Amino acid sequence: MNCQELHNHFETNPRLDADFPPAVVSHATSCASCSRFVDEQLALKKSLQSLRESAAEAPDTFDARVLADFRMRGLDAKPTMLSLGHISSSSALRWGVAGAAALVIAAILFTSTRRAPKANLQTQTRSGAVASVSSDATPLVTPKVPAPSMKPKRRVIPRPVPNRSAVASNRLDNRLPAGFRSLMYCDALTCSAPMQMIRVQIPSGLIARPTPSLVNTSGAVNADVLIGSDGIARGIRIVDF
Amino acid sequence: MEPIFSDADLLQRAMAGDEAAFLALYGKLKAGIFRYAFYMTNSQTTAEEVMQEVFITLLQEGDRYRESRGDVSAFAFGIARNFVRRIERRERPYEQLPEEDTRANLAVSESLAGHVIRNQTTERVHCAIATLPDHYRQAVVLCDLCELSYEQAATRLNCAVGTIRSRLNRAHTMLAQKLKPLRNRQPLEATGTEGCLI
Repeated sequence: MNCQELHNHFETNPRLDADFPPAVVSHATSCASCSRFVDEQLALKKSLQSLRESAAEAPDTFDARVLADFRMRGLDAKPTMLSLGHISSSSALRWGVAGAAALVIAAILFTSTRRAPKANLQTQTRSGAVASVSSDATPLVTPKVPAPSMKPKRRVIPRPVPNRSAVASNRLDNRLPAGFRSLMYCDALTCSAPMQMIRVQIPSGLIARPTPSLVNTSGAVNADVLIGSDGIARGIRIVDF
Repeated sequence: MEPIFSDADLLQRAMAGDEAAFLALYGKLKAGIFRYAFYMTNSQTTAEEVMQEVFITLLQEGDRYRESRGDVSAFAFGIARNFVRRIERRERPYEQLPEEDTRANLAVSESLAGHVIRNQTTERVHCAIATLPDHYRQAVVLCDLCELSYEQAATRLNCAVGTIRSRLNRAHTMLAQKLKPLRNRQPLEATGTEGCLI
Protein backbone atom coordinates (compact mmCIF):
# COMPACT_ATOMS: atom_id res chain seq x y z
CA MET A 1 0.00 0.00 0.00
CA ASN A 2 1.26 3.47 -0.83
CA CYS A 3 0.23 6.85 0.60
CA GLN A 4 -2.43 7.47 -2.05
CA GLU A 5 -3.99 4.08 -1.46
CA LEU A 6 -4.06 4.70 2.27
CA HIS A 7 -5.91 7.98 1.83
CA ASN A 8 -8.24 6.35 -0.68
CA HIS A 9 -9.02 3.71 1.89
CA PHE A 10 -10.17 6.33 4.40
CA GLU A 11 -12.17 8.13 1.73
CA THR A 12 -14.09 5.03 0.72
CA ASN A 13 -14.37 3.67 4.26
CA PRO A 14 -14.64 6.72 6.46
CA ARG A 15 -16.21 4.85 9.36
CA LEU A 16 -13.92 4.67 12.35
CA ASP A 17 -15.74 2.07 14.39
CA ALA A 18 -13.72 -0.90 13.09
CA ASP A 19 -10.04 -1.76 13.37
CA PHE A 20 -7.76 -0.46 10.65
CA PRO A 21 -6.69 -3.09 8.10
CA PRO A 22 -3.16 -4.53 8.53
CA ALA A 23 -2.04 -2.96 5.24
CA VAL A 24 -2.84 0.49 6.59
CA VAL A 25 -1.02 -0.18 9.85
CA SER A 26 2.05 -1.58 8.15
CA HIS A 27 2.27 1.38 5.74
CA ALA A 28 1.84 3.83 8.59
CA THR A 29 4.83 2.36 10.41
CA SER A 30 7.06 3.03 7.42
CA CYS A 31 5.73 6.48 6.40
CA ALA A 32 5.97 9.46 8.75
CA SER A 33 3.20 11.59 7.18
CA CYS A 34 0.81 8.65 6.92
CA SER A 35 1.69 7.71 10.48
CA ARG A 36 0.59 11.18 11.67
CA PHE A 37 -2.59 10.88 9.64
CA VAL A 38 -3.39 7.44 11.02
CA ASP A 39 -2.67 8.66 14.56
CA GLU A 40 -5.12 11.50 14.04
CA GLN A 41 -7.75 9.08 12.83
CA LEU A 42 -7.05 6.80 15.76
CA ALA A 43 -7.39 9.65 18.23
CA LEU A 44 -10.62 10.74 16.59
CA LYS A 45 -11.88 7.19 16.75
CA LYS A 46 -11.22 7.08 20.50
CA SER A 47 -12.87 10.47 21.02
CA LEU A 48 -16.00 9.46 19.15
CA GLN A 49 -16.10 6.22 21.06
CA SER A 50 -15.92 8.04 24.38
CA LEU A 51 -18.66 10.35 23.20
CA ARG A 52 -20.83 7.39 22.25
CA GLU A 53 -20.29 5.79 25.65
CA SER A 54 -21.20 8.99 27.49
CA ALA A 55 -24.56 9.29 25.75
CA ALA A 56 -27.40 10.29 28.01
CA GLU A 57 -30.51 8.18 28.23
CA ALA A 58 -34.04 9.38 28.38
CA PRO A 59 -35.26 9.18 31.98
CA ASP A 60 -37.90 6.65 32.89
CA THR A 61 -40.32 9.41 33.84
CA PHE A 62 -40.23 10.50 30.25
CA ASP A 63 -41.93 7.29 29.09
CA ALA A 64 -44.86 8.03 31.37
CA ARG A 65 -45.08 11.55 29.97
CA VAL A 66 -45.21 10.33 26.39
CA LEU A 67 -47.81 7.74 27.30
CA ALA A 68 -49.89 10.40 29.02
CA ASP A 69 -49.67 12.49 25.85
CA PHE A 70 -50.86 9.51 23.85
CA ARG A 71 -53.81 8.88 26.15
CA MET A 72 -54.77 12.53 26.19
CA ARG A 73 -54.64 12.61 22.41
CA GLY A 74 -56.84 9.55 22.28
CA LEU A 75 -59.46 11.35 24.35
CA ASP A 76 -59.26 14.42 22.16
CA ALA A 77 -59.11 12.61 18.86
CA LYS A 78 -62.08 10.28 19.19
CA PRO A 79 -64.88 12.85 18.83
CA THR A 80 -62.97 14.58 16.04
CA MET A 81 -62.56 11.37 14.12
CA LEU A 82 -66.23 10.62 14.57
CA SER A 83 -67.33 13.99 13.26
CA LEU A 84 -64.85 13.85 10.39
CA GLY A 85 -66.22 10.47 9.46
CA HIS A 86 -69.68 11.93 9.18
CA ILE A 87 -68.52 14.88 7.15
CA SER A 88 -66.40 12.87 4.82
CA SER A 89 -69.29 10.65 3.88
CA SER A 90 -70.52 12.39 0.75
CA SER A 91 -73.86 10.62 0.65
CA ALA A 92 -74.63 11.64 4.22
CA LEU A 93 -73.69 15.19 3.35
CA ARG A 94 -75.97 15.17 0.33
CA TRP A 95 -78.87 13.83 2.36
CA GLY A 96 -78.24 16.45 4.99
CA VAL A 97 -78.31 19.28 2.47
CA ALA A 98 -81.44 17.88 0.85
CA GLY A 99 -83.14 17.59 4.22
CA ALA A 100 -82.22 21.15 5.15
CA ALA A 101 -83.50 22.44 1.82
CA ALA A 102 -86.77 20.56 2.26
CA LEU A 103 -87.18 22.05 5.72
CA VAL A 104 -86.59 25.57 4.42
CA ILE A 105 -89.13 25.11 1.60
CA ALA A 106 -91.68 23.69 4.01
CA ALA A 107 -91.16 26.61 6.38
CA ILE A 108 -91.62 29.14 3.56
CA LEU A 109 -94.80 27.45 2.37
CA PHE A 110 -96.16 27.27 5.89
CA THR A 111 -95.58 30.95 6.65
CA SER A 112 -97.01 32.08 3.31
CA THR A 113 -100.19 30.07 3.80
CA ARG A 114 -100.60 31.50 7.29
CA ARG A 115 -100.25 35.13 6.17
CA ALA A 116 -102.76 35.01 3.33
CA PRO A 117 -105.99 34.60 5.37
CA LYS A 118 -104.83 37.08 7.98
CA ALA A 119 -104.40 39.75 5.37
CA ASN A 120 -107.81 38.94 4.01
CA LEU A 121 -109.28 39.07 7.47
CA GLN A 122 -107.67 42.38 8.26
CA THR A 123 -109.11 44.12 5.22
CA GLN A 124 -112.55 42.85 6.02
CA THR A 125 -112.52 43.90 9.64
CA ARG A 126 -111.22 47.29 8.70
CA SER A 127 -114.22 47.85 6.47
CA GLY A 128 -116.51 46.88 9.34
CA ALA A 129 -118.21 44.04 7.52
CA VAL A 130 -118.80 40.67 9.06
CA ALA A 131 -115.71 38.57 8.74
CA SER A 132 -115.83 35.82 6.27
CA VAL A 133 -113.18 33.47 5.14
CA SER A 134 -112.30 33.73 1.52
CA SER A 135 -112.70 30.62 -0.49
CA ASP A 136 -109.03 30.35 -1.40
CA ALA A 137 -107.89 30.16 2.22
CA THR A 138 -106.28 26.87 3.16
CA PRO A 139 -108.14 24.68 5.62
CA LEU A 140 -105.03 24.38 7.79
CA VAL A 141 -105.49 27.87 9.17
CA THR A 142 -108.66 28.61 11.04
CA PRO A 143 -109.50 32.29 10.72
CA LYS A 144 -110.28 34.05 13.92
CA VAL A 145 -113.26 36.35 13.87
CA PRO A 146 -112.74 39.29 16.16
CA ALA A 147 -115.21 39.74 18.95
CA PRO A 148 -117.46 42.80 18.58
CA SER A 149 -115.90 44.36 21.67
CA MET A 150 -112.42 44.17 20.21
CA LYS A 151 -111.07 47.30 18.69
CA PRO A 152 -110.38 47.18 15.01
CA LYS A 153 -106.72 47.11 14.21
CA ARG A 154 -105.07 50.44 14.03
CA ARG A 155 -104.19 51.58 10.63
CA VAL A 156 -100.49 51.93 10.27
CA ILE A 157 -99.64 55.29 8.87
CA PRO A 158 -96.18 55.35 7.38
CA ARG A 159 -94.12 58.05 8.97
CA PRO A 160 -91.32 59.85 7.20
CA VAL A 161 -88.00 58.26 8.00
CA PRO A 162 -85.88 60.68 10.01
CA ASN A 163 -82.28 61.41 9.05
CA ARG A 164 -80.24 59.11 11.28
CA SER A 165 -77.09 61.18 11.34
CA ALA A 166 -79.04 64.23 12.33
CA VAL A 167 -80.61 62.33 15.20
CA ALA A 168 -77.27 60.98 16.30
CA SER A 169 -75.62 64.34 16.21
CA ASN A 170 -78.52 65.86 18.14
CA ARG A 171 -78.17 63.22 20.77
CA LEU A 172 -74.42 63.61 20.91
CA ASP A 173 -74.71 67.33 21.09
CA ASN A 174 -76.74 66.80 24.21
CA ARG A 175 -74.15 64.49 25.73
CA LEU A 176 -70.80 65.87 24.55
CA PRO A 177 -69.51 69.32 25.44
CA ALA A 178 -69.36 71.94 22.74
CA GLY A 179 -66.57 71.60 20.18
CA PHE A 180 -66.17 67.86 20.54
CA ARG A 181 -66.65 65.52 17.66
CA SER A 182 -68.12 62.17 18.46
CA LEU A 183 -65.95 59.11 18.18
CA MET A 184 -68.61 56.62 19.13
CA TYR A 185 -72.32 56.34 19.63
CA CYS A 186 -73.29 58.04 22.83
CA ASP A 187 -76.65 57.75 24.54
CA ALA A 188 -78.14 58.05 27.97
CA LEU A 189 -77.01 54.60 28.96
CA THR A 190 -73.48 54.62 27.64
CA CYS A 191 -72.63 58.22 28.47
CA SER A 192 -74.67 58.71 31.61
CA ALA A 193 -71.71 58.81 33.99
CA PRO A 194 -69.37 61.79 34.06
CA MET A 195 -66.61 61.57 31.49
CA GLN A 196 -62.96 62.28 31.88
CA MET A 197 -61.01 64.52 29.55
CA ILE A 198 -57.39 63.90 28.73
CA ARG A 199 -55.07 65.81 26.46
CA VAL A 200 -53.08 63.77 23.97
CA GLN A 201 -50.76 64.40 21.08
CA ILE A 202 -51.56 62.70 17.83
CA PRO A 203 -49.50 62.66 14.63
CA SER A 204 -50.58 65.39 12.24
CA GLY A 205 -50.79 62.79 9.48
CA LEU A 206 -53.93 61.43 11.11
CA ILE A 207 -55.74 64.73 10.67
CA ALA A 208 -57.42 65.21 7.32
CA ARG A 209 -56.42 68.84 6.81
CA PRO A 210 -54.15 70.03 9.60
CA THR A 211 -53.64 73.77 9.59
CA PRO A 212 -50.15 74.98 10.45
CA SER A 213 -51.44 76.66 13.58
CA LEU A 214 -52.48 73.30 14.97
CA VAL A 215 -49.24 71.44 14.33
CA ASN A 216 -46.47 71.85 16.89
CA THR A 217 -42.73 71.66 16.26
CA SER A 218 -42.60 67.88 16.61
CA GLY A 219 -45.26 67.40 13.94
CA ALA A 220 -47.97 66.46 16.41
CA VAL A 221 -51.39 67.92 17.07
CA ASN A 222 -52.85 68.45 20.54
CA ALA A 223 -56.29 67.05 21.14
CA ASP A 224 -58.67 66.68 24.05
CA VAL A 225 -60.26 63.27 24.26
CA LEU A 226 -63.35 62.49 26.30
CA ILE A 227 -63.19 59.09 27.95
CA GLY A 228 -66.41 57.52 29.12
CA SER A 229 -66.80 55.68 32.39
CA ASP A 230 -66.39 52.44 30.44
CA GLY A 231 -62.91 53.53 29.32
CA ILE A 232 -63.93 54.09 25.70
CA ALA A 233 -63.11 57.36 23.94
CA ARG A 234 -66.36 59.11 23.10
CA GLY A 235 -65.34 62.45 21.68
CA ILE A 236 -62.34 64.39 20.45
CA ARG A 237 -61.51 68.07 20.06
CA ILE A 238 -58.44 69.43 18.30
CA VAL A 239 -56.90 72.28 20.22
CA ASP A 240 -54.62 75.01 19.04
CA PHE A 241 -50.93 74.65 19.63
CA MET B 1 -48.54 -16.69 19.13
CA GLU B 2 -48.77 -12.92 18.84
CA PRO B 3 -48.91 -11.44 15.35
CA ILE B 4 -45.82 -9.53 14.23
CA PHE B 5 -46.64 -6.10 12.92
CA SER B 6 -44.43 -3.95 10.76
CA ASP B 7 -43.60 -0.44 11.91
CA ALA B 8 -46.08 0.94 9.39
CA ASP B 9 -48.83 -1.25 10.86
CA LEU B 10 -47.86 -0.19 14.35
CA LEU B 11 -48.10 3.43 13.32
CA GLN B 12 -51.53 2.94 11.80
CA ARG B 13 -52.73 1.14 14.89
CA ALA B 14 -51.24 3.75 17.20
CA MET B 15 -53.00 6.48 15.25
CA ALA B 16 -56.23 4.57 15.66
CA GLY B 17 -55.71 4.61 19.43
CA ASP B 18 -54.07 1.24 20.01
CA GLU B 19 -51.91 1.82 23.08
CA ALA B 20 -49.99 -1.44 22.80
CA ALA B 21 -49.02 -0.61 19.22
CA PHE B 22 -47.94 2.85 20.28
CA LEU B 23 -45.78 1.45 23.07
CA ALA B 24 -44.19 -1.05 20.71
CA LEU B 25 -43.38 1.67 18.19
CA TYR B 26 -42.14 3.97 20.92
CA GLY B 27 -39.84 1.25 22.23
CA LYS B 28 -38.36 0.77 18.77
CA LEU B 29 -37.77 4.41 17.94
CA LYS B 30 -37.11 5.92 21.34
CA ALA B 31 -33.39 5.28 21.75
CA GLY B 32 -32.35 6.27 18.26
CA ILE B 33 -34.32 9.51 18.20
CA PHE B 34 -33.23 10.50 21.69
CA ARG B 35 -29.57 9.92 20.88
CA TYR B 36 -29.83 11.82 17.64
CA ALA B 37 -31.54 14.77 19.34
CA PHE B 38 -29.07 14.68 22.22
CA TYR B 39 -26.01 14.67 20.00
CA MET B 40 -27.42 17.37 17.78
CA THR B 41 -28.40 19.70 20.61
CA ASN B 42 -26.00 18.65 23.39
CA SER B 43 -28.83 19.01 25.85
CA GLN B 44 -30.83 16.32 27.54
CA THR B 45 -33.78 18.63 28.15
CA THR B 46 -33.92 19.67 24.52
CA ALA B 47 -33.56 16.06 23.43
CA GLU B 48 -36.56 15.16 25.56
CA GLU B 49 -38.50 18.06 24.10
CA VAL B 50 -37.66 16.92 20.58
CA MET B 51 -38.59 13.32 21.33
CA GLN B 52 -41.94 14.30 22.80
CA GLU B 53 -42.71 16.48 19.80
CA VAL B 54 -41.70 13.70 17.43
CA PHE B 55 -44.15 11.23 18.92
CA ILE B 56 -46.96 13.76 19.08
CA THR B 57 -46.33 14.67 15.44
CA LEU B 58 -46.18 11.00 14.48
CA LEU B 59 -49.64 10.50 15.91
CA GLN B 60 -51.05 13.68 14.45
CA GLU B 61 -49.50 13.55 11.01
CA GLY B 62 -48.76 9.87 10.64
CA ASP B 63 -51.10 9.68 7.66
CA ARG B 64 -48.47 11.62 5.71
CA TYR B 65 -46.16 8.63 5.97
CA ARG B 66 -45.59 6.76 2.69
CA GLU B 67 -44.03 3.33 2.93
CA SER B 68 -42.49 3.74 -0.53
CA ARG B 69 -40.33 6.62 0.70
CA GLY B 70 -38.66 4.75 3.55
CA ASP B 71 -39.36 3.11 6.87
CA VAL B 72 -41.18 4.68 9.81
CA SER B 73 -37.88 5.23 11.57
CA ALA B 74 -36.67 7.42 8.70
CA PHE B 75 -39.95 9.33 8.81
CA ALA B 76 -39.56 9.88 12.54
CA PHE B 77 -35.93 10.96 12.05
CA GLY B 78 -37.11 13.47 9.48
CA ILE B 79 -39.54 14.92 12.00
CA ALA B 80 -36.79 15.01 14.63
CA ARG B 81 -34.43 16.75 12.23
CA ASN B 82 -37.02 19.43 11.51
CA PHE B 83 -37.58 19.99 15.21
CA VAL B 84 -33.86 20.21 15.90
CA ARG B 85 -33.51 22.80 13.15
CA ARG B 86 -36.44 24.74 14.53
CA ILE B 87 -34.90 24.70 17.99
CA GLU B 88 -31.55 25.79 16.60
CA ARG B 89 -33.22 28.69 14.82
CA ARG B 90 -35.06 29.56 18.03
CA GLU B 91 -31.93 29.43 20.16
CA ARG B 92 -29.53 31.01 17.68
CA PRO B 93 -30.06 34.63 18.82
CA TYR B 94 -29.06 33.65 22.35
CA GLU B 95 -26.09 31.42 21.75
CA GLN B 96 -22.49 32.44 21.68
CA LEU B 97 -20.41 30.59 19.17
CA PRO B 98 -17.16 29.31 20.61
CA GLU B 99 -14.01 30.61 19.01
CA GLU B 100 -11.44 28.04 18.06
CA ASP B 101 -8.44 29.43 19.94
CA THR B 102 -10.27 30.51 23.03
CA ARG B 103 -12.02 27.21 23.23
CA ALA B 104 -8.76 25.32 22.93
CA ASN B 105 -7.22 27.39 25.70
CA LEU B 106 -10.32 27.33 27.78
CA ALA B 107 -10.03 25.59 31.09
CA VAL B 108 -13.44 26.18 32.53
CA SER B 109 -14.30 24.41 35.69
CA GLU B 110 -17.73 23.03 36.41
CA SER B 111 -19.28 25.85 38.34
CA LEU B 112 -22.77 24.49 38.88
CA ALA B 113 -22.95 22.61 42.13
CA GLY B 114 -24.23 19.11 41.89
CA HIS B 115 -23.24 18.67 38.29
CA VAL B 116 -21.40 15.57 37.40
CA ILE B 117 -18.01 16.43 36.00
CA ARG B 118 -17.98 15.32 32.45
CA ASN B 119 -15.03 14.11 30.59
CA GLN B 120 -13.12 17.00 29.05
CA THR B 121 -12.26 15.16 25.87
CA THR B 122 -15.87 14.21 25.34
CA GLU B 123 -16.96 17.78 25.83
CA ARG B 124 -14.42 19.15 23.43
CA VAL B 125 -15.27 16.59 20.79
CA HIS B 126 -18.88 17.52 21.28
CA CYS B 127 -17.99 21.18 20.82
CA ALA B 128 -15.95 20.41 17.73
CA ILE B 129 -18.86 18.48 16.22
CA ALA B 130 -21.20 21.33 17.05
CA THR B 131 -19.09 23.77 15.05
CA LEU B 132 -19.18 21.62 11.91
CA PRO B 133 -21.42 22.71 9.04
CA ASP B 134 -24.85 21.12 9.35
CA HIS B 135 -24.54 18.49 6.60
CA TYR B 136 -21.20 17.27 7.98
CA ARG B 137 -22.56 17.27 11.50
CA GLN B 138 -25.57 15.21 10.43
CA ALA B 139 -23.26 12.62 8.87
CA VAL B 140 -21.08 12.36 11.99
CA VAL B 141 -24.05 12.15 14.34
CA LEU B 142 -25.88 9.54 12.30
CA CYS B 143 -22.92 7.34 11.32
CA ASP B 144 -20.39 7.76 14.13
CA LEU B 145 -22.62 8.45 17.11
CA CYS B 146 -25.97 6.85 16.30
CA GLU B 147 -24.12 4.01 14.56
CA LEU B 148 -26.37 3.87 11.54
CA SER B 149 -25.15 2.28 8.33
CA TYR B 150 -24.34 4.42 5.31
CA GLU B 151 -27.58 3.29 3.70
CA GLN B 152 -29.68 4.16 6.73
CA ALA B 153 -28.03 7.56 7.05
CA ALA B 154 -28.54 8.18 3.35
CA THR B 155 -32.25 7.38 3.69
CA ARG B 156 -32.62 9.68 6.65
CA LEU B 157 -30.79 12.54 4.96
CA ASN B 158 -32.39 11.81 1.60
CA CYS B 159 -29.12 11.66 -0.28
CA ALA B 160 -26.86 9.10 -1.97
CA VAL B 161 -24.67 6.67 -0.06
CA GLY B 162 -21.59 8.10 -1.77
CA THR B 163 -22.53 11.54 -0.50
CA ILE B 164 -22.65 10.22 3.03
CA ARG B 165 -19.23 8.63 2.65
CA SER B 166 -17.63 11.79 1.30
CA ARG B 167 -19.32 13.99 3.90
CA LEU B 168 -18.17 11.70 6.67
CA ASN B 169 -14.62 11.66 5.39
CA ARG B 170 -14.57 15.45 5.07
CA ALA B 171 -16.09 15.80 8.53
CA HIS B 172 -13.40 13.55 10.02
CA THR B 173 -10.68 15.65 8.43
CA MET B 174 -12.22 18.82 9.86
CA LEU B 175 -12.69 17.25 13.27
CA ALA B 176 -9.08 16.07 13.33
CA GLN B 177 -7.96 19.63 12.58
CA LYS B 178 -10.18 21.05 15.30
CA LEU B 179 -8.99 18.51 17.86
CA LYS B 180 -5.30 18.92 17.11
CA PRO B 181 -4.74 21.49 19.88
CA LEU B 182 -6.45 19.15 22.30
CA ARG B 183 -4.05 16.32 21.52
CA ASN B 184 -1.02 18.60 21.76
CA ARG B 185 -2.10 19.93 25.15
CA GLN B 186 -3.10 16.74 26.86
CA PRO B 187 -3.51 16.28 29.73
CA LEU B 188 -5.78 19.28 30.11
CA GLU B 189 -7.53 20.64 33.12
CA ALA B 190 -11.12 19.80 33.63
CA THR B 191 -13.55 21.68 31.52
CA GLY B 192 -17.28 21.89 31.63
CA THR B 193 -20.33 22.42 29.54
CA GLU B 194 -19.77 26.16 29.60
CA GLY B 195 -17.08 25.75 26.98
CA CYS B 196 -19.57 24.32 24.60
CA LEU B 197 -22.33 26.70 23.74
CA ILE B 198 -24.38 25.03 21.07
